Amino acid sequence: MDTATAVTASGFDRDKVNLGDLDFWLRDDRHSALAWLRREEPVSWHEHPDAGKGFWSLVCAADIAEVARTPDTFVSSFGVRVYHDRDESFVRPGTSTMRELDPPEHTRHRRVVSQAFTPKALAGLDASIETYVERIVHDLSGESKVEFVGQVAARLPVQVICEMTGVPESDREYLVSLTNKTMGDQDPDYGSSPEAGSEAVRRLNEYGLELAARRRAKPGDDLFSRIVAAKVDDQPLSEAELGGFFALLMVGGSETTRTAISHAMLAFTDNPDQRELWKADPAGRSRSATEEILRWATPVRHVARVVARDVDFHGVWMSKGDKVALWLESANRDETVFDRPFAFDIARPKNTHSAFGAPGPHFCLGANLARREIPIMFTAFYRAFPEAAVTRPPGRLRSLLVNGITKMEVALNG
Amino acid sequence: MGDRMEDVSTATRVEVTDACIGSGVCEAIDPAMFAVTDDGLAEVLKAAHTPQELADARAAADQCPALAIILHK
Repeated sequence: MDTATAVTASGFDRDKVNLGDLDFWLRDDRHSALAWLRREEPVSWHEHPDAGKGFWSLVCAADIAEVARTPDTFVSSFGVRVYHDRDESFVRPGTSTMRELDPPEHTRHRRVVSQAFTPKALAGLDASIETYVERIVHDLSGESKVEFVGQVAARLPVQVICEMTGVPESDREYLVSLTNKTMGDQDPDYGSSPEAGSEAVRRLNEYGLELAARRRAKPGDDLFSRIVAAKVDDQPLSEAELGGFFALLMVGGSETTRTAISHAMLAFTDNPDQRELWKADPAGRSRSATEEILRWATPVRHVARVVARDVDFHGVWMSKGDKVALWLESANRDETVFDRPFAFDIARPKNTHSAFGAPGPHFCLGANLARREIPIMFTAFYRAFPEAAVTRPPGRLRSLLVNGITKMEVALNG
Repeated sequence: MGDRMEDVSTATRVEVTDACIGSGVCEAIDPAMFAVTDDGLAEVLKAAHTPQELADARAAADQCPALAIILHK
């Protein structure tokens, strides 16, 4: 069903392999094209109206890791999406936050929240995650077919990040409608647009500021109270930074994990042997399976940097101001890193994937949270519906950023 | 007694530098050796004495996204 996993050795017409073209990322043979690019032109230049001005594309894991670990040359402060040019004005998740800062400022902002996302701090959330999962599974009882993304995958992560942040339950659906618009801002069929996505981020910011005012008046022990009370360089965060932080947590906390959960359901359907392996021993398999799900899904396709000074990158001259896309989706199929990269193998040892971004200062803040939500979700889901399977090819999100699944029908009893 | 002498001679000091971003990757590998504290930085709780501890320290240094863990033999 997931024909994107089929890989051919044949060559490609370079003119038809344009990583800035939204249509490229909907192609069934894109993994073959990326493998060809890794072999033939690991550093390549692409231009397409979908991505604003032209940009460099890195597709090999080692190159991507090198750039992610060199934040003084490849900076985040001029935007981290390949279609984000400095001279356009859309507001995006991450605007005015640490996502678009470089060390040492980045480090100071990140420390405001890092302690809340450590394994030890998050262990206390397991009981809540289990409760939400039980509720989601319970709500499916009596049904035979469900729309998995909306009824299952999207529900858990938003509840968890909202609980951590201290958002009342009554407001959570409204916030999901906003994060959906930010994720779909390149997909008109998904009811969004760059303008609507920008407006949704502004509304997330506004909500964050209202929440900040409430927390200032009455602090709690939630994450947002901590952010409101925090000082960076002896100064509290500005209004723009507070609102931005909130939007970043909401979008980062919900759109990514839901995508991983959706792809996992599809991968387990396409690979029933792996599904049986999981079901036979969820506790024993969950650790390696979760890493494989993350590698396989790669919810965030790319992160981008801007070149801060002219640089010779392995023989390719990059100029100050150039955008550089780090294609994580390609790094996670890199045959120099993974044995049988196109096989979904939940027992894969030493799974050094880049699903949380390549190692570097911007490594995903929520990594430890995603690693808890995914196994709890599938353990409970397969306990309730051991034969559940995707019925037909799902809807794909049109996006350079998120490897999203828009809609996916699942038959609960197989 | 003999064990203790051996511990001292083979202990590897583990250091977290100010590049730390508090990702918690090290704490997930060995919570007895690393902890992210209230200031958002990882702290080293003990040196690596046993082969297992040394393996954990090396894994943490390899996997630290900020390259902030250094082993001093």
